[in-house]
Amino acid sequence: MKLLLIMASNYFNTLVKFARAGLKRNDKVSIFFMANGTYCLLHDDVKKLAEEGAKIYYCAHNANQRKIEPQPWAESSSMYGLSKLISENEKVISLS
Amino acid sequence: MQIDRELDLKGEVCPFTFVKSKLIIEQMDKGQVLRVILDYKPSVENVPKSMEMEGQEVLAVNQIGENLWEVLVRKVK
Repeated sequence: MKLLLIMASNYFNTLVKFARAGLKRNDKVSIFFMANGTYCLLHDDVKKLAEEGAKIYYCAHNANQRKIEPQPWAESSSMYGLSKLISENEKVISLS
Repeated sequence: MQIDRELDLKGEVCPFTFVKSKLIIEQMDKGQVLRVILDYKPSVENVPKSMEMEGQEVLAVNQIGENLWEVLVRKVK
């Protein structure tokens, strides 16, 4: 299954649990960080999720506003990119 | 290269940079080239990406000043 997690809050542990559960089921897991959720990009566990196979996207504008530096394991995206991801995935969970 | 339309988006940020570019390219004919001027780095990454997702052809992204870029897009569809 293609699973998209949208992270716009600080429910970080919930996000990690959802993502790991998806990866364990061999789901194709994508995570989109936006708004204050972009602060999670600073967390080591997000890098680990990327290494475990999750595809990481973030709103470049939201990250830039918060002075969060781009990470090589995360793909710069936008609200338009998010709209495409939503239409491409079978399940979407928004943590906001 | 012939530029058919030019859009100066200095001072604009996401998502308006893409939205305004999209509105202009919708008014253009297939094969025509739009030149978008940007001074916001996140938009320099994402306007071309979004244009490609829309099925348009991104011809080039060039830095033309200290904090200034041009994005050249050919309308395909």
